[in-house]
Amino acid sequence: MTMDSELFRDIALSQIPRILGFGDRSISSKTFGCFDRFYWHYRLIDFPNERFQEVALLLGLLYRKSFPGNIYFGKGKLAEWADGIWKFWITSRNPDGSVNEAYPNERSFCATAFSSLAITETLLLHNENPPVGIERTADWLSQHDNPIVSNQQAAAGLSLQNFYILTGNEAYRKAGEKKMNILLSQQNGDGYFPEYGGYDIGYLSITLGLLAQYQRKNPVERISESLRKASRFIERKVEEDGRYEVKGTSRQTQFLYPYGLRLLNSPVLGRLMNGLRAGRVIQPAWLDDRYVVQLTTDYLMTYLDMQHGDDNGKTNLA
Amino acid sequence: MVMTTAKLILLRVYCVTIGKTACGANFLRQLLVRELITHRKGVEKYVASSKYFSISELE
Repeated sequence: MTMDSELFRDIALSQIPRILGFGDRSISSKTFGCFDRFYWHYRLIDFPNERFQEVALLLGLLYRKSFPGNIYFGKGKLAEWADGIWKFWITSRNPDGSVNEAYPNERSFCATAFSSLAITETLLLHNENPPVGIERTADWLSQHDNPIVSNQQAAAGLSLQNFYILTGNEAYRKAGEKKMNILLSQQNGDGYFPEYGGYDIGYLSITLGLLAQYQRKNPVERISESLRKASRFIERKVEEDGRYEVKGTSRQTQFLYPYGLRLLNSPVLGRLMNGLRAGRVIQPAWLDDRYVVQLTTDYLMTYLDMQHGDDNGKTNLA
Repeated sequence: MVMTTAKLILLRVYCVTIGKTACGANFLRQLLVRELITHRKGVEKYVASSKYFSISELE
Protein backbone atom coordinates (compact mmCIF):
# COMPACT_ATOMS: atom_id res chain seq x y z
CA MET A 1 0.00 0.00 0.00
CA THR A 2 1.35 3.42 -0.86
CA MET A 3 0.81 6.75 0.81
CA ASP A 4 -0.68 8.04 -2.41
CA SER A 5 -3.70 5.76 -2.38
CA GLU A 6 -4.38 6.47 1.27
CA LEU A 7 -5.11 10.08 0.34
CA PHE A 8 -8.15 9.09 -1.70
CA ARG A 9 -9.21 6.50 0.86
CA ASP A 10 -9.07 8.90 3.78
CA ILE A 11 -10.92 11.64 1.95
CA ALA A 12 -13.65 9.22 0.87
CA LEU A 13 -14.05 7.67 4.33
CA SER A 14 -14.31 11.10 5.94
CA GLN A 15 -17.56 11.73 4.05
CA ILE A 16 -19.34 8.48 4.85
CA PRO A 17 -21.03 9.42 8.14
CA ARG A 18 -22.34 12.60 6.53
CA ILE A 19 -23.61 10.72 3.48
CA LEU A 20 -25.25 7.99 5.54
CA GLY A 21 -27.15 10.74 7.31
CA PHE A 22 -28.83 11.64 4.03
CA GLY A 23 -30.78 8.41 4.01
CA ASP A 24 -34.00 7.14 5.52
CA ARG A 25 -32.58 4.13 7.35
CA SER A 26 -35.76 3.17 9.15
CA ILE A 27 -36.91 -0.09 7.61
CA SER A 28 -40.52 0.43 8.63
CA SER A 29 -40.68 3.82 6.92
CA LYS A 30 -42.59 4.26 3.65
CA THR A 31 -39.57 6.14 2.30
CA PHE A 32 -37.02 3.61 3.54
CA GLY A 33 -33.97 3.75 1.30
CA CYS A 34 -34.62 7.27 0.03
CA PHE A 35 -31.48 9.38 0.25
CA ASP A 36 -33.01 12.75 -0.60
CA ARG A 37 -33.25 14.24 2.85
CA PHE A 38 -35.17 17.26 1.62
CA TYR A 39 -37.90 14.88 0.51
CA TRP A 40 -38.23 12.21 3.22
CA HIS A 41 -37.03 14.14 6.29
CA TYR A 42 -37.51 17.89 5.85
CA ARG A 43 -40.57 17.32 3.62
CA LEU A 44 -39.84 20.59 1.89
CA ILE A 45 -40.19 19.25 -1.62
CA ASP A 46 -42.81 17.14 -3.30
CA PHE A 47 -40.64 14.61 -5.13
CA PRO A 48 -37.31 12.84 -4.54
CA ASN A 49 -34.23 13.67 -6.59
CA GLU A 50 -33.31 10.20 -7.82
CA ARG A 51 -29.65 11.10 -8.23
CA PHE A 52 -29.30 10.66 -4.47
CA GLN A 53 -29.95 6.95 -5.02
CA GLU A 54 -26.52 6.71 -6.66
CA VAL A 55 -25.27 6.22 -3.11
CA ALA A 56 -26.14 2.53 -3.60
CA LEU A 57 -22.77 1.92 -5.26
CA LEU A 58 -20.83 3.67 -2.50
CA LEU A 59 -22.51 1.56 0.17
CA GLY A 60 -22.05 -1.56 -1.89
CA LEU A 61 -18.31 -0.97 -2.17
CA LEU A 62 -18.00 -0.23 1.55
CA TYR A 63 -19.93 -3.39 2.40
CA ARG A 64 -17.93 -5.66 0.13
CA LYS A 65 -14.36 -4.33 0.21
CA SER A 66 -12.14 -4.83 3.20
CA PHE A 67 -9.45 -2.22 3.63
CA PRO A 68 -7.84 -0.29 6.51
CA GLY A 69 -10.25 2.14 8.11
CA ASN A 70 -13.35 0.60 6.56
CA ILE A 71 -15.54 0.00 9.60
CA TYR A 72 -18.49 -0.68 7.26
CA PHE A 73 -17.10 -3.86 5.73
CA GLY A 74 -19.50 -6.76 6.13
CA LYS A 75 -21.91 -4.81 8.30
CA GLY A 76 -25.39 -6.20 7.81
CA LYS A 77 -26.99 -2.79 8.19
CA LEU A 78 -25.17 -1.53 5.13
CA ALA A 79 -26.52 -4.41 3.06
CA GLU A 80 -30.00 -3.67 4.40
CA TRP A 81 -29.75 0.03 3.53
CA ALA A 82 -28.26 -0.67 0.09
CA ASP A 83 -31.19 -2.97 -0.54
CA GLY A 84 -33.60 -0.22 0.43
CA ILE A 85 -31.82 2.27 -1.83
CA TRP A 86 -32.25 0.39 -5.08
CA LYS A 87 -35.75 -0.74 -4.16
CA PHE A 88 -36.75 2.88 -3.55
CA TRP A 89 -35.21 3.80 -6.91
CA ILE A 90 -37.15 1.05 -8.71
CA THR A 91 -40.49 1.98 -7.20
CA SER A 92 -40.21 5.75 -7.52
CA ARG A 93 -39.35 5.82 -11.23
CA ASN A 94 -41.76 7.31 -13.72
CA PRO A 95 -44.04 4.72 -15.39
CA ASP A 96 -41.85 4.82 -18.53
CA GLY A 97 -38.72 3.89 -16.54
CA SER A 98 -37.15 7.34 -16.49
CA VAL A 99 -36.44 9.24 -13.28
CA ASN A 100 -36.58 12.85 -12.07
CA GLU A 101 -34.00 15.19 -10.69
CA ALA A 102 -35.29 18.77 -10.72
CA TYR A 103 -39.11 18.56 -10.90
CA PRO A 104 -41.92 15.98 -11.09
CA ASN A 105 -42.35 14.11 -14.39
CA GLU A 106 -39.08 15.56 -15.64
CA ARG A 107 -37.89 12.37 -17.38
CA SER A 108 -34.30 13.49 -16.91
CA PHE A 109 -31.81 11.87 -19.26
CA CYS A 110 -28.98 12.82 -16.92
CA ALA A 111 -30.57 11.41 -13.78
CA THR A 112 -31.80 8.28 -15.55
CA ALA A 113 -28.37 7.60 -17.04
CA PHE A 114 -26.33 8.18 -13.90
CA SER A 115 -28.70 6.64 -11.38
CA SER A 116 -29.28 3.52 -13.46
CA LEU A 117 -25.52 3.25 -13.93
CA ALA A 118 -24.96 3.28 -10.17
CA ILE A 119 -27.82 0.84 -9.55
CA THR A 120 -26.66 -1.62 -12.22
CA GLU A 121 -23.05 -1.42 -11.02
CA THR A 122 -24.33 -2.22 -7.53
CA LEU A 123 -26.35 -5.19 -8.75
CA LEU A 124 -23.28 -6.50 -10.58
CA LEU A 125 -21.14 -5.97 -7.47
CA HIS A 126 -23.55 -8.02 -5.37
CA ASN A 127 -24.08 -10.57 -8.14
CA GLU A 128 -27.81 -10.01 -7.86
CA ASN A 129 -30.40 -10.94 -10.41
CA PRO A 130 -31.95 -7.93 -12.07
CA PRO A 131 -35.18 -6.94 -10.36
CA VAL A 132 -38.45 -7.28 -12.22
CA GLY A 133 -39.27 -4.21 -14.25
CA ILE A 134 -35.77 -2.83 -14.47
CA GLU A 135 -35.87 -3.25 -18.23
CA ARG A 136 -38.21 -0.30 -18.53
CA THR A 137 -35.33 1.99 -17.68
CA ALA A 138 -33.00 0.25 -20.12
CA ASP A 139 -35.65 0.57 -22.84
CA TRP A 140 -36.13 4.26 -22.10
CA LEU A 141 -32.39 4.91 -22.15
CA SER A 142 -32.07 3.03 -25.43
CA GLN A 143 -34.62 5.33 -27.02
CA HIS A 144 -33.15 8.63 -25.83
CA ASP A 145 -29.91 10.51 -26.40
CA ASN A 146 -28.35 13.75 -25.28
CA PRO A 147 -25.35 14.10 -27.58
CA ILE A 148 -24.61 17.72 -26.71
CA VAL A 149 -23.80 16.69 -23.14
CA SER A 150 -21.03 14.12 -23.47
CA ASN A 151 -20.76 13.00 -19.85
CA GLN A 152 -24.44 12.08 -19.81
CA GLN A 153 -24.14 10.23 -23.11
CA ALA A 154 -21.19 8.26 -21.72
CA ALA A 155 -23.11 7.37 -18.56
CA ALA A 156 -26.02 6.11 -20.63
CA GLY A 157 -23.74 3.99 -22.81
CA LEU A 158 -22.04 2.38 -19.83
CA SER A 159 -25.35 1.84 -18.06
CA LEU A 160 -26.75 0.03 -21.10
CA GLN A 161 -23.66 -2.19 -21.22
CA ASN A 162 -24.43 -3.08 -17.59
CA PHE A 163 -28.07 -3.78 -18.44
CA TYR A 164 -26.84 -6.15 -21.12
CA ILE A 165 -24.55 -7.95 -18.65
CA LEU A 166 -27.42 -8.23 -16.16
CA THR A 167 -30.17 -9.33 -18.53
CA GLY A 168 -28.32 -10.90 -21.46
CA ASN A 169 -30.43 -8.78 -23.80
CA GLU A 170 -28.24 -8.09 -26.84
CA ALA A 171 -30.39 -5.08 -27.76
CA TYR A 172 -29.02 -3.22 -24.73
CA ARG A 173 -25.42 -3.94 -25.71
CA LYS A 174 -26.09 -2.61 -29.19
CA ALA A 175 -27.89 0.43 -27.81
CA GLY A 176 -24.95 1.17 -25.52
CA GLU A 177 -22.52 0.76 -28.40
CA LYS A 178 -24.57 3.17 -30.49
CA LYS A 179 -24.48 5.74 -27.72
CA MET A 180 -20.71 5.42 -27.43
CA ASN A 181 -20.32 5.72 -31.18
CA ILE A 182 -22.28 8.97 -31.09
CA LEU A 183 -20.03 10.16 -28.28
CA LEU A 184 -16.84 9.25 -30.15
CA SER A 185 -18.05 10.93 -33.32
CA GLN A 186 -18.49 14.17 -31.39
CA GLN A 187 -14.93 14.23 -30.08
CA ASN A 188 -13.28 17.51 -30.98
CA GLY A 189 -10.02 17.50 -32.95
CA ASP A 190 -8.24 18.85 -29.87
CA GLY A 191 -9.35 15.77 -27.96
CA TYR A 192 -12.18 16.93 -25.71
CA PHE A 193 -15.75 15.68 -25.71
CA PRO A 194 -18.06 18.68 -25.99
CA GLU A 195 -20.38 19.86 -23.24
CA TYR A 196 -22.91 22.25 -24.74
CA GLY A 197 -20.57 23.08 -27.57
CA GLY A 198 -17.34 23.67 -25.68
CA TYR A 199 -14.91 21.94 -23.36
CA ASP A 200 -15.23 21.55 -19.64
CA ILE A 201 -12.42 19.99 -17.63
CA GLY A 202 -14.51 18.68 -14.74
CA TYR A 203 -17.06 16.97 -16.97
CA LEU A 204 -14.28 15.71 -19.22
CA SER A 205 -12.72 13.95 -16.23
CA ILE A 206 -16.09 12.27 -15.63
CA THR A 207 -16.43 11.25 -19.27
CA LEU A 208 -12.91 9.82 -19.27
CA GLY A 209 -13.77 7.60 -16.31
CA LEU A 210 -17.00 6.37 -17.86
CA LEU A 211 -15.46 5.69 -21.26
CA ALA A 212 -12.49 3.92 -19.66
CA GLN A 213 -14.84 1.70 -17.65
CA TYR A 214 -16.79 0.92 -20.80
CA GLN A 215 -13.53 0.04 -22.55
CA ARG A 216 -12.76 -2.42 -19.76
CA LYS A 217 -16.09 -4.19 -20.30
CA ASN A 218 -16.15 -3.91 -24.10
CA PRO A 219 -12.60 -3.38 -25.46
CA VAL A 220 -12.45 -1.53 -28.76
CA GLU A 221 -9.28 0.03 -30.22
CA ARG A 222 -11.16 3.08 -31.42
CA ILE A 223 -12.08 3.89 -27.83
CA SER A 224 -8.48 3.47 -26.65
CA GLU A 225 -7.27 5.99 -29.21
CA SER A 226 -10.05 8.37 -28.29
CA LEU A 227 -9.17 8.11 -24.63
CA ARG A 228 -5.51 8.83 -25.36
CA LYS A 229 -6.45 11.99 -27.23
CA ALA A 230 -8.76 13.17 -24.46
CA SER A 231 -6.15 12.36 -21.85
CA ARG A 232 -3.54 14.45 -23.66
CA PHE A 233 -6.00 17.33 -23.82
CA ILE A 234 -6.63 17.32 -20.11
CA GLU A 235 -2.88 17.07 -19.43
CA ARG A 236 -2.38 20.33 -21.29
CA LYS A 237 -4.97 22.11 -19.19
CA VAL A 238 -4.31 21.03 -15.62
CA GLU A 239 -1.40 22.60 -13.74
CA GLU A 240 1.03 20.92 -11.39
CA ASP A 241 -1.06 21.81 -8.35
CA GLY A 242 -4.20 20.24 -9.83
CA ARG A 243 -5.85 23.55 -10.67
CA TYR A 244 -7.00 24.73 -14.05
CA GLU A 245 -8.45 27.84 -15.60
CA VAL A 246 -12.21 27.69 -15.22
CA LYS A 247 -13.04 30.83 -17.16
CA GLY A 248 -13.65 30.06 -20.78
CA THR A 249 -14.80 26.52 -20.17
CA SER A 250 -18.31 25.75 -21.28
CA ARG A 251 -19.66 24.68 -17.88
CA GLN A 252 -17.16 26.23 -15.45
CA THR A 253 -16.97 23.23 -13.16
CA GLN A 254 -14.10 23.28 -10.69
CA PHE A 255 -13.61 19.63 -9.78
CA LEU A 256 -11.58 16.71 -11.11
CA TYR A 257 -12.88 13.15 -10.93
CA PRO A 258 -9.79 10.98 -10.39
CA TYR A 259 -10.97 7.49 -11.39
CA GLY A 260 -10.65 8.00 -15.12
CA LEU A 261 -7.23 9.58 -14.62
CA ARG A 262 -6.23 6.50 -12.64
CA LEU A 263 -7.51 4.06 -15.29
CA LEU A 264 -5.59 5.96 -17.97
CA ASN A 265 -2.43 6.32 -15.89
CA SER A 266 -2.61 10.04 -16.46
CA PRO A 267 -0.01 12.31 -14.85
CA VAL A 268 -2.92 14.60 -14.01
CA LEU A 269 -3.74 12.22 -11.14
CA GLY A 270 -0.47 13.15 -9.47
CA ARG A 271 -1.18 16.83 -10.04
CA LEU A 272 -4.58 16.42 -8.41
CA MET A 273 -2.92 14.73 -5.45
CA ASN A 274 -0.49 17.65 -5.16
CA GLY A 275 -3.45 19.98 -4.96
CA LEU A 276 -5.28 17.82 -2.44
CA ARG A 277 -2.27 17.61 -0.14
CA ALA A 278 -1.84 21.37 -0.32
CA GLY A 279 -5.55 21.96 0.30
CA ARG A 280 -5.82 23.92 -2.91
CA VAL A 281 -8.32 21.96 -4.98
CA ILE A 282 -11.94 21.00 -4.57
CA GLN A 283 -12.52 17.72 -2.79
CA PRO A 284 -15.75 15.98 -1.73
CA ALA A 285 -16.03 17.83 1.58
CA TRP A 286 -16.25 21.13 -0.30
CA LEU A 287 -19.22 20.05 -2.37
CA ASP A 288 -22.87 20.38 -1.45
CA ASP A 289 -25.10 17.42 -0.58
CA ARG A 290 -26.28 17.12 -4.13
CA TYR A 291 -22.89 16.18 -5.56
CA VAL A 292 -20.79 14.86 -2.68
CA VAL A 293 -21.93 11.24 -3.20
CA GLN A 294 -20.67 10.97 -6.76
CA LEU A 295 -17.23 12.45 -6.11
CA THR A 296 -16.78 10.42 -2.93
CA THR A 297 -17.63 7.23 -4.80
CA ASP A 298 -15.10 8.17 -7.48
CA TYR A 299 -12.41 8.74 -4.84
CA LEU A 300 -13.13 5.36 -3.27
CA MET A 301 -13.03 3.59 -6.62
CA THR A 302 -9.71 5.28 -7.34
CA TYR A 303 -8.27 4.04 -4.04
CA LEU A 304 -9.55 0.51 -4.62
CA ASP A 305 -8.06 0.40 -8.08
CA MET A 306 -4.73 1.66 -6.79
CA GLN A 307 -4.79 -1.09 -4.18
CA HIS A 308 -6.13 -4.06 -6.06
CA GLY A 309 -6.15 -3.01 -9.69
CA ASP A 310 -9.89 -3.56 -9.83
CA ASP A 311 -13.04 -1.58 -9.30
CA ASN A 312 -15.76 -4.14 -9.23
CA GLY A 313 -14.18 -7.35 -10.38
CA LYS A 314 -13.10 -8.86 -7.08
CA THR A 315 -15.04 -8.91 -3.89
CA ASN A 316 -13.69 -9.60 -0.45
CA LEU A 317 -17.10 -10.63 0.79
CA ALA A 318 -18.66 -13.77 -0.64
CA MET B 1 -33.14 35.32 -11.90
CA VAL B 2 -34.38 33.34 -8.93
CA MET B 3 -37.34 31.11 -8.36
CA THR B 4 -40.48 32.83 -7.12
CA THR B 5 -43.61 31.35 -5.63
CA ALA B 6 -45.61 32.23 -8.71
CA LYS B 7 -43.09 30.55 -11.02
CA LEU B 8 -42.96 27.48 -8.83
CA ILE B 9 -46.73 27.14 -8.82
CA LEU B 10 -46.78 27.53 -12.59
CA LEU B 11 -44.07 24.92 -12.97
CA ARG B 12 -45.85 22.44 -10.74
CA VAL B 13 -49.21 22.93 -12.48
CA TYR B 14 -47.47 22.34 -15.81
CA CYS B 15 -45.64 19.27 -14.46
CA VAL B 16 -48.81 17.54 -13.30
CA THR B 17 -50.88 18.41 -16.37
CA ILE B 18 -49.25 18.85 -19.77
CA GLY B 19 -45.88 17.87 -18.33
CA LYS B 20 -47.12 14.37 -17.55
CA THR B 21 -46.95 13.56 -21.25
CA ALA B 22 -43.66 12.78 -22.94
CA CYS B 23 -44.16 15.66 -25.39
CA GLY B 24 -44.99 18.09 -22.64
CA ALA B 25 -41.96 17.02 -20.61
CA ASN B 26 -39.73 17.28 -23.64
CA PHE B 27 -40.99 20.75 -24.50
CA LEU B 28 -40.37 22.00 -20.98
CA ARG B 29 -36.90 20.50 -20.90
CA GLN B 30 -35.95 22.11 -24.20
CA LEU B 31 -37.36 25.45 -23.04
CA LEU B 32 -35.40 25.33 -19.77
CA VAL B 33 -32.17 24.27 -21.48
CA ARG B 34 -32.62 27.09 -23.95
CA GLU B 35 -33.43 29.73 -21.34
CA LEU B 36 -30.89 28.67 -18.72
CA ILE B 37 -28.00 27.33 -20.77
CA THR B 38 -27.75 27.54 -24.52
CA HIS B 39 -29.22 30.96 -25.27
CA ARG B 40 -27.67 32.84 -22.41
CA LYS B 41 -25.29 35.00 -24.38
CA GLY B 42 -23.26 37.36 -22.25
CA VAL B 43 -25.08 36.16 -19.17
CA GLU B 44 -23.96 33.41 -16.83
CA LYS B 45 -25.21 29.99 -17.79
CA TYR B 46 -26.85 27.76 -15.23
CA VAL B 47 -24.54 24.99 -14.03
CA ALA B 48 -25.73 23.06 -11.00
CA SER B 49 -22.33 21.64 -10.00
CA SER B 50 -20.45 24.92 -9.92
CA LYS B 51 -19.81 28.02 -7.84
CA TYR B 52 -18.18 26.11 -5.02
CA PHE B 53 -15.56 27.84 -2.92
CA SER B 54 -12.14 27.93 -4.50
CA ILE B 55 -8.88 28.92 -2.80
CA SER B 56 -8.14 31.26 -5.67
CA GLU B 57 -10.98 33.51 -4.46
CA LEU B 58 -8.75 34.53 -1.57
CA GLU B 59 -5.95 35.62 -3.86
